[in-house]
Amino acid sequence: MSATMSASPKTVQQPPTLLVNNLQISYGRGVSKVTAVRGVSFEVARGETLGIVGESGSGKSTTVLGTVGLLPSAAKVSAGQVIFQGQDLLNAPATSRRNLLGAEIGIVYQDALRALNPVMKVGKQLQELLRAHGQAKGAAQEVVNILQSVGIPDPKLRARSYPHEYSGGMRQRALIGMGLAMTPSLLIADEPTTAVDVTIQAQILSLIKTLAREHNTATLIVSHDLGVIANMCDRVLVMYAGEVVEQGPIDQVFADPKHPYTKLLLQSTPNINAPAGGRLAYIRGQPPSLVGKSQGCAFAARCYAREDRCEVETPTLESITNQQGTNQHDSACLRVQASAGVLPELPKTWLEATDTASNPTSAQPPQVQPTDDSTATSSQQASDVILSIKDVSRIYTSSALLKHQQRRITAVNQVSLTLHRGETVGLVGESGCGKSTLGRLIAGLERADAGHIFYCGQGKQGQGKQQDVSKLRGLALRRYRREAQMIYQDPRSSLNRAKSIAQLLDEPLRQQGMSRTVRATRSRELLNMVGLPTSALKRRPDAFSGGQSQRIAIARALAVGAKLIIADEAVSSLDVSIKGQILNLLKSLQTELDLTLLFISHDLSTVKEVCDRVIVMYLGKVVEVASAQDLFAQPTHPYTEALYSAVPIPDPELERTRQHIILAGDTPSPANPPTGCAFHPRCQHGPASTRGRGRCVSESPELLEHLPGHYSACHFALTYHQTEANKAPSSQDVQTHDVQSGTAG
Amino acid sequence: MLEPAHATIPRSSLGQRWGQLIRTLRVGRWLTGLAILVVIITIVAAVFAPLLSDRDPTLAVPASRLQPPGQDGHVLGTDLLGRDIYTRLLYGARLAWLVGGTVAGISVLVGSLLGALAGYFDGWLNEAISRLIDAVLAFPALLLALVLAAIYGPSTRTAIVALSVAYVPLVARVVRAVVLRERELDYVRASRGLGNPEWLTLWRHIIPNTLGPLLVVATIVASRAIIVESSLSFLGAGTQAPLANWGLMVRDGRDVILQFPRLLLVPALTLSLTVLAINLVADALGDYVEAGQLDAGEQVDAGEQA
Amino acid sequence: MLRFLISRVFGAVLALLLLTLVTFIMVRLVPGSIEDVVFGLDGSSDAARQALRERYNLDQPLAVQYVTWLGNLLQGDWGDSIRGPAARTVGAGRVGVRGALMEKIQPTLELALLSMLLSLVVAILLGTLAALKRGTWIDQSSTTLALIGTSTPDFVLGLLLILGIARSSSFFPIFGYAPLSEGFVEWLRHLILPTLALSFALMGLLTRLTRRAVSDTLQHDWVRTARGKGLPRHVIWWHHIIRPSLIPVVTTAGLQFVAVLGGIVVIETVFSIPGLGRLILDAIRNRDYALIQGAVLLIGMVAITVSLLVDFSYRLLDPRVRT
Repeated sequence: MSATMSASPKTVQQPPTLLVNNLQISYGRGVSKVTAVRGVSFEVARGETLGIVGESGSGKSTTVLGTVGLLPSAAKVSAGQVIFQGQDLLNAPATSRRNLLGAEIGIVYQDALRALNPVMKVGKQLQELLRAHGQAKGAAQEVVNILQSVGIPDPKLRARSYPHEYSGGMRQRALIGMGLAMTPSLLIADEPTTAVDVTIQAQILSLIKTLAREHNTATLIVSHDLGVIANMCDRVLVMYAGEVVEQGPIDQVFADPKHPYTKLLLQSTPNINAPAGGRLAYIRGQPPSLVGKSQGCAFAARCYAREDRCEVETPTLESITNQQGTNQHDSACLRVQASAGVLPELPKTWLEATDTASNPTSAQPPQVQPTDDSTATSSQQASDVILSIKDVSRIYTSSALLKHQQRRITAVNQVSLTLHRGETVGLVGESGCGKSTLGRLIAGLERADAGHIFYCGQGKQGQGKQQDVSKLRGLALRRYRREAQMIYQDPRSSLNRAKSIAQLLDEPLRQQGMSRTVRATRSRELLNMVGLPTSALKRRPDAFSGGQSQRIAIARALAVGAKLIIADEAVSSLDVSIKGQILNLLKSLQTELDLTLLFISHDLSTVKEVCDRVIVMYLGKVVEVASAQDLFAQPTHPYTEALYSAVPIPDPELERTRQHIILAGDTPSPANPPTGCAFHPRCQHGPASTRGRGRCVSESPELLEHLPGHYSACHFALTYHQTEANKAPSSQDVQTHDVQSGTAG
Repeated sequence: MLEPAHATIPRSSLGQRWGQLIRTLRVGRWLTGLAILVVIITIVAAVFAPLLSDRDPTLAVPASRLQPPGQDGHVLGTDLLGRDIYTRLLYGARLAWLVGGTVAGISVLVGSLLGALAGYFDGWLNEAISRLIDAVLAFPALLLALVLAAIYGPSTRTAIVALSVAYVPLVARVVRAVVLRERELDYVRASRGLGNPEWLTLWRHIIPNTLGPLLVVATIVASRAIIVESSLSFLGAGTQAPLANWGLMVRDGRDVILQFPRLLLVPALTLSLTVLAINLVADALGDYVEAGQLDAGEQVDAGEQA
Repeated sequence: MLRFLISRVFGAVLALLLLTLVTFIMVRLVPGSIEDVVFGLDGSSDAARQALRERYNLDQPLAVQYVTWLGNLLQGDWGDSIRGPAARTVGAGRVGVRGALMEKIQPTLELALLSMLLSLVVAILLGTLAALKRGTWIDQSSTTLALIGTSTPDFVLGLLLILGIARSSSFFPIFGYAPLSEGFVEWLRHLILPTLALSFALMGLLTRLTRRAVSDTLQHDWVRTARGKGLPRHVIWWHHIIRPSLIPVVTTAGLQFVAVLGGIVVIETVFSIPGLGRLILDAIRNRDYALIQGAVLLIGMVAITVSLLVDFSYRLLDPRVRT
């Protein structure tokens, strides 16, 4: 991937639509003053898409909101200049700024549920926008047109609905409609797809792209997701700790980063297209505090290429001339600047060292002590079945006075699967597919309404002992729960904030009847194992960052002596750099302690990176099971195929040529699933687009082994692609219903 | 996204927490400091009343009726029956705190039990307790106390029983709301995952998190109980003469409101100031608790007024 | 919505039944027999006692007594006042409980509604202003005032008003009531001070609630969206901030109606207004259990009806809880 092929195709001639110069934004005042944005400059021109990428706290959202004057009242723009179409936005009178906002500048927010007024009909919220900008006449009809243009079915009726009556995807579409209603010359999208599922994300991204292209809009996209940026942008701005560390054409930055942070960010981002397995790079330590003034490079403390002067000299963004002499790539790395654009290589040792070693307070290597005599299990017995699930169902019934009014939601529908000792199994699917419910069933926290969950634990003598979890009660059930521990998504909610870490770790140890001194030693050991200093014991959960809290949650699971760990979206709320730390920790603990890991996630790239086998769920059913490698290389279920294609890859070149299958509509409600194959209404190869597939509507497919070790629940598992010409993927996104015209020929 | 994620300086450990509580209470607002002072003064008055005055609060001395303040060692003068007003105020504080404390204590004990059960064990128990809460809340506390006074005869004890019954639902509702919310947090699942039985999860993990809001509610209940009991006494359906009670003193003073306003003003202002001070403290506690927990003040505000 | 309506009305009827049962049992809890309560222990004629027993079915089992009493209630017979001369000479000049209550309800309802209205208007203005000017002296003084409002017992406030205003100006009478038929000014003149005294506490409560609700709304993302749409300021304030904030305020105000009814007993005593509160207090002093029973029933009915209305209006105001 050399940079030669991908010089930016367009040269910017006209004056930029938006020009931001040395923007500084701070919160609070006095000693607790936080400077969130520290001198950011950029420009966007018509027809161009600029991406701003960074982790949480990097100041990327604050930057764009500050640009258009939508900061919360606690924040102040303390310096800088914002020129929009030749007009100074920061010093413009309120009325002229109001006239621009919503009309010339459209904004799409992160979470449509929160961004829309819950007590006002969606149509009305659009109408008032049109009215405010002088389009009172025919506004009602215009609203329907707008909703139609963003693909909302039955727009006339939908205009009279409230936001909560929309599905997540529809709400986001309505918000996009609002942002683009007045055909603005600048569109700002702040994490526009963070709150939606991946198949909906594909819809939304394609919609923004199409509409922006249509109106030749200047687009500014903020995202933490390198894949989204690669998919959407022409140029990219990388932010860290309130500063721009790198800027340039998307292909150059991704292929040939000129800042160590960008390089590490790229390396620590899981790529669904890369071969499975192996360890992710990660960034050591924590982002710096933004309180007060800093000296030196903000990234120095976490940087692999750090030199002494990085701590004292503050770098500025400077253009790096690459070999081709094109001059569009800026970097704020002193070493790169000094060495004529050469970024030092990532040292090999970087990936191997755990960050425990970098932590002086816990220098001694972690002591691994298997909690009981279960050392008999080893890797040779990897094919041992630890858990086998047969036809498990879980049905939620809403309470109602009358029987026929009850709503029954089948969250898990006759699922069967097996977990082997010591393996890592991924459980993926979009929200509402039942994956978390299945996780709780396995953990013994909920009881299955039908079916069996057989757990083969270690008996007292090391013999296998099989028990049906779904039948356990009382003490036996509580004993089982200790064997299967969950790690939850929200680290803040999974640790009791009323207890100190010592108390949290002590509780499970005391249950095992350990003496006080043994417990104290063991607690320290456990903290060492998860890479935290023992000084953490005295503190309470709210003193820790998200990643640290997850480490504590893992330590607690180990303290109980868990054999099976169910990680339910355990890294989903963490930043990329921290995510890598936690994943690597889990993987190394797994091999050391011979744990079985069920990794529940919506994030396919991560699942592919860490899992041996992957289970795909859709609407409460398992639709495909295969090894991580096979699953994405040769999906035998159209849903998996669509999921895979919908995940944006952090590689702009590939992303441009890749085929994106865009499924129609939203995931149906599990309360009222479609007949036959639950996926058939959205299926890109299903009856809606392909003749002769009526079977999908009438008959529910069984999960069958179509290839060795590769199961799928599709009537046409191996043959569904055959109706479609196996041609080279086009650069256009493929809409579900467009497939029909493609297959007709 | 907006809030700089790493700007928050870690705070922790029990000592630091207390430090923060004290900062919120004292340095945060001088008004709160003043309020705490007033509360402490009334408590001292209540506890050490016999030491602070050697007179009998109920002893009528017809010879020294309506003495002006300062006369014969009567700091605040005497009332229509010649009783020392200062002494009656001291013993009035005693009664006020007896009522406020007992009602708060009983309603917190019973209310948190009911609320915790209703919140944690969903289903018919929650339904039944919630209905009961709604039913009692729908009826004004004062009226309930009046009716009980009519049946069992008016006395301080009847008032305490009536008010405890009336405020149990208020506490129960707050605790129920906290438990309902906490129950959905993952640490509760984690506790069950450790193999803890349900009651242990409730006791060891959820209850400690209700203590903050509970403290706020208890304070508010105490202040409301003092108001309502003195209203009852004012109406003649609470504490009975000749006992010293602020409401009763206002009732006595009302008869001579135009001639001797001080007989009414002194107990009325003492009562209002005390209640205001307690409410200010509750407010400050609420601000502290609000930082990480459910807003108990709002729950109480929405619950009942008089 | 219809389903909710039906189930909620059904629940209200159940609550009403429960209320009648409680009020029925309440009187039975009185120590001693009813006859003793009515006539005192100093013997009266056995004939009078017997007449009383027949009138109230006292010889029948409790269940029968309850059902008969309930039947009478439904037919509008709420029993007779059992105290006073009327009760002693049974058959002559009976004072019907329902009549007595209805006669006195007008000033009470007027006072209650007027107080509600006043508190709501002032609270919404003051609370919104405080939230808007958060942290300034306007905020500080209105929140402090609100806290003083919730902390001052209503009888204290009433007496202070009498002492401060009524004494210096003869325009505001310190006691009594004038029905509307005597003219609007006359009516209002008599009601203003009691209304003020009664509404101060509720005003404080609702001001704090409004301030909190508006401050919370200001934090919501949809306000930012509205600003990002370039809407005029008054549209943002009215449609996106105040209206969503009013939902909790209005529903709380509705629920507080009952508390206001409680405060009325005190205020009617302070200002000598011949209303329901005074009637209840007199009944309690006279241990007139039939009247107490009736009053409890009436207030319970008002409470249940109001909470029903609040529930419905909440559903109408907030589309999110509609089913």
